Amino acid sequence: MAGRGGGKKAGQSRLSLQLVLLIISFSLIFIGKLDLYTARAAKLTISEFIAPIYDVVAAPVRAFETMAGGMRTLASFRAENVRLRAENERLQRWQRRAEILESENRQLKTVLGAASTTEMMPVTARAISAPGGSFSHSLLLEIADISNVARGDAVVNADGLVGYVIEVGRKYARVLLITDVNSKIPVLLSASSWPALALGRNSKTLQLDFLPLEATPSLGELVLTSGHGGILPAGVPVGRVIAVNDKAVIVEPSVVLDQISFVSVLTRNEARPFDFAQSDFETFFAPLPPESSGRLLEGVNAAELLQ
Amino acid sequence: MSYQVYFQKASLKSFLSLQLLVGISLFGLMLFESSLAIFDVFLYGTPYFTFTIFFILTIFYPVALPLLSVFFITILHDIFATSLGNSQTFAILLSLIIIKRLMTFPEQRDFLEIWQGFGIAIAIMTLFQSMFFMATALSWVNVQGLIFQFGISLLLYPFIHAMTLRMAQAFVQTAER
Repeated sequence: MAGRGGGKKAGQSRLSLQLVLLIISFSLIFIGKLDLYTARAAKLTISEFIAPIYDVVAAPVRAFETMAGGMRTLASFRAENVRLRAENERLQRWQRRAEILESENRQLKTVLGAASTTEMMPVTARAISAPGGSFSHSLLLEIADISNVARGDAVVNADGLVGYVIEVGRKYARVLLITDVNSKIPVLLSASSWPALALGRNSKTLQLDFLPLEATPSLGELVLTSGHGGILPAGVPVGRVIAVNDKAVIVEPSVVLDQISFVSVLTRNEARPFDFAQSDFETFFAPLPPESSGRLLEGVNAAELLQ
Repeated sequence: MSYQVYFQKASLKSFLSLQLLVGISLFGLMLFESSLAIFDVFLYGTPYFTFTIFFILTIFYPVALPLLSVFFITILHDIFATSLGNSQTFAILLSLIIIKRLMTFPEQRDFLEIWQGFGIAIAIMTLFQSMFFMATALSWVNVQGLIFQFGISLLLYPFIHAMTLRMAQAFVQTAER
C-alpha cells in the first residue's frame, strides 16, 4: 500500500518536473525574442564560455574537411594552375583599370566637394562556428581586437558580403548571415542601378523584394549593397541574379557561406563632410578646360570657381 | 608495500555521476554535430545524431539521461549555436515527453515499432519548430533542408541504435564488475 503510494508520488513529481521544464523552455523562447539586455549579456557570456570548447570539438572536422579539400585540389592540380594563370592575367588588367578609375573618382570628388564616404577600418576575425541550422543562419567570430567592433558592422571576405554583426562580446561577436530570414540588405542592381531589398530565406539563396515594376534584372547581373540607411557600405558584392520569374528574383550569394574561415569586420567611423582645409586639395586639383566643359558639368567650371 | 599500488586493479568507476558524464558527452556530440555544417552537403541540415541518442536513452535507459540533462544540454546548445529565442529546447523536450508516454515497455516491442516511434519523435520536433518559425518570422521554412535532415536521421537510426545500445550494455557490465 505504502509502495503504491510512494510510486504514485514519484510519478506525480516526475510529471510536475516535466511540466516545469516545458514551461521554462517555452518562456525562454519569448525572453529571447524580447531582446532584453540581461538576456543578451547572459547569452554572450555563455557563448564565450562554450566557444573554446567548440573550437576543440570541431578541430578534427575542420582538419578532415581541409584534407578532403586538399585532395580535391590535388586531383585537378594542372587544370587549376592553367585556370589560375588566366585569372591572374585578367585580374591584373582589372587592377590597372581600377587604379585609373579610383584616381579619376578621387579627382572628381575633390572638384565637386562631395562629402567623403564613411571610412571603414577592417578588422580580421576567425569564424568559430559553422552556419548550420534550418531555422537560423549565424556565425560566431573570434576577434583579437574587438574594441572598435559594434552592432551593425558589415562582415565581408574577398568575395563579398557575409553578413553583419548583431552581438558583440568581450572576445567574440555573432554575425547574422545574409541568408538568414531576418537579414534584409538594401541593394542595387549593378547594370541598371534599380534599388531593392535582398531578403534572406534560410536557404542557399536570397530573394529581391521591393524591386520597382519597371526594373528588368538580367540573369548573371551583379547585386551590390546600396549603402542606403548608412549601416552597410555601398558597393560590396552581395550576389548574382540566377533566376527571374513573375513571382521572384533569386540571387545566389557571392560568398560560399560553408567555407568561411577568416573574414574582415568593417568597423565604422562617423561620416564626416569633406574638409577642404584638411585635404591635400592642391595635389588632386585638376581644373577642367573651359572650352571642353561637357553638358554634364556645365556651370561647374572649376576655373570660374577659382576666380 | 609501495610496489603493490602498481599491481592493484584500476578502478573503472568515476567519481562523477553517470548522468553528468552522459550529459557532458552528449553536449560534446551536439557541438560536433553543429560543426559538420562546414561540409557542403550538411550546410543548413546536419543529421540529428544527438537527438537520436536522446531518444534511445530516454526509451531504454531513462536513468542515464533524465529530462533535466536534456534541458541543460539543449538550452546551452541553443544559446551557443543560434539564439535564446530558438524553439529547439522546447521542441525536443515536448517530443521526448510525448514519445516516452507512447513507447511504454520498449523491450517488448520489435525494432520496426521503435524505428516508427523515432520517426514520430522527429516529426513532432520538426513540426513544432517549423510552425513556431513560420508564426514568428512570417516566412516559409526551408522545407528541402528539413526533409533532408529528417530522411538522413531516419536512415542512420538503425546504426546509431545498435551502437548506442551496445555501448550502454558494455557500460552497465563495466559498472557491475
